[in-house]
Amino acid sequence: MKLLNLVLMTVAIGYPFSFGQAHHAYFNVFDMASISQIEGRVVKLELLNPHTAVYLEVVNEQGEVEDWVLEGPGRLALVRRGWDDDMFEIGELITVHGNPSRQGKKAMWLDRVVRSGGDEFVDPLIADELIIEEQRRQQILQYRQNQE
Amino acid sequence: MKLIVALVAVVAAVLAFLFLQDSAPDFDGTPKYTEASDFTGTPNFTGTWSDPPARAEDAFCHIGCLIEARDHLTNLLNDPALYDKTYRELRNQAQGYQITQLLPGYMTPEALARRMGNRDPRPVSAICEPWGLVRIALSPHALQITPYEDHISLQYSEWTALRHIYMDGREFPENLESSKYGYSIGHYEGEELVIETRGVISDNFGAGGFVHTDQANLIERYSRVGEDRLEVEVVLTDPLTFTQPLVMARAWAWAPGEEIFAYDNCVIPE
Repeated sequence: MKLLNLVLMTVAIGYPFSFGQAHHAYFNVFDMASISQIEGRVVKLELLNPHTAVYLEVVNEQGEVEDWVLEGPGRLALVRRGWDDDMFEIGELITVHGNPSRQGKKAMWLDRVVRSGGDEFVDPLIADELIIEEQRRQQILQYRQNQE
Repeated sequence: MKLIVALVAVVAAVLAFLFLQDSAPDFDGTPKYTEASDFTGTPNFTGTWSDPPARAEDAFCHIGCLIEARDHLTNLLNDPALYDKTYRELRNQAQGYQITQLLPGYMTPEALARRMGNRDPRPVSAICEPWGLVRIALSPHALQITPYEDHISLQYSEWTALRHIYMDGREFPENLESSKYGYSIGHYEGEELVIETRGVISDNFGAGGFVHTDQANLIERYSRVGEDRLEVEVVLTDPLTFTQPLVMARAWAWAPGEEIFAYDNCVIPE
């Protein structure tokens, strides 16, 4: 286990927040404009509503074990996208990309989880966003080809 | 005489039980969705609808948005000068426009003063507090619509919230007592299902920490676009909160296989 590095990439990345985001208080709690990355071992997965929690043990750069919680969309959203209660082995090493806590807590909002074998589990809204982004690229390409 | 009274009581209890069965469909946590409709009325919204299609404006409005903000996003997306921007960048720009510029312009000074939004000291963002009417009407995930003879039920997967829309031509009661989801009366206008709701309690409606008061009135207009798409336009008025009606929208995709299961295990991560 090793804390890779809390790489705060302030790269104009934000969660696909919407009109109703305030009730979940994402923006009060997490910095949706930044993405961090950590690596840790799964302690527990709680596939719950309204939000899911993945508890991790992460070894920091000083070699100390830290307890982290990864918060993500709830059971409603994730079960439909292939998540289940037993998807992670206890102690499994995973890499997590997410939005860091605004208060410096050892917590993140899920963007994606990458298993050691390379399988990715992406926040469903992020997955839709990737489709939309691709559609936009195709439309722009078509526009530019028509302009030529 | 006692026997007659007892019989009357039993009959009354049975009738009450049957009435409640009809007006409040059971939700027992088992998968429950309608594949096809027995409903012969027009238009037909029967069945289960869920998250919006993966389309830019629909994703932006997946928990509702101001129509003005949605149109603003469309303009941004279609502007060739912004073709180097990603969808995410433009969506965030439109969201910022909605929350910081559009919405405050609708608010009364008193409502602005009530605005919530202080930094939250908790390490996680989950809140185990069922949403109010406006937020649930724009809720993401599944919505199951079931017509009955005299009412329609709207069952939401979030909080398994259940609303009853009276369709029997009744008027709003006098001295309406406020409740979480209020009192809803509906009717059809052409291809639209129109629902008016009054008598809601003051609640957070999710828009950047604003709340509405118990004077809020909600009008929802549902329309089906083709086989696979359900849209709603929601007009929220509240003279104590808004200087003009708030017009919002959201879309669902047809999801006949989606399950609605009990939302009874709300837990805030430690």
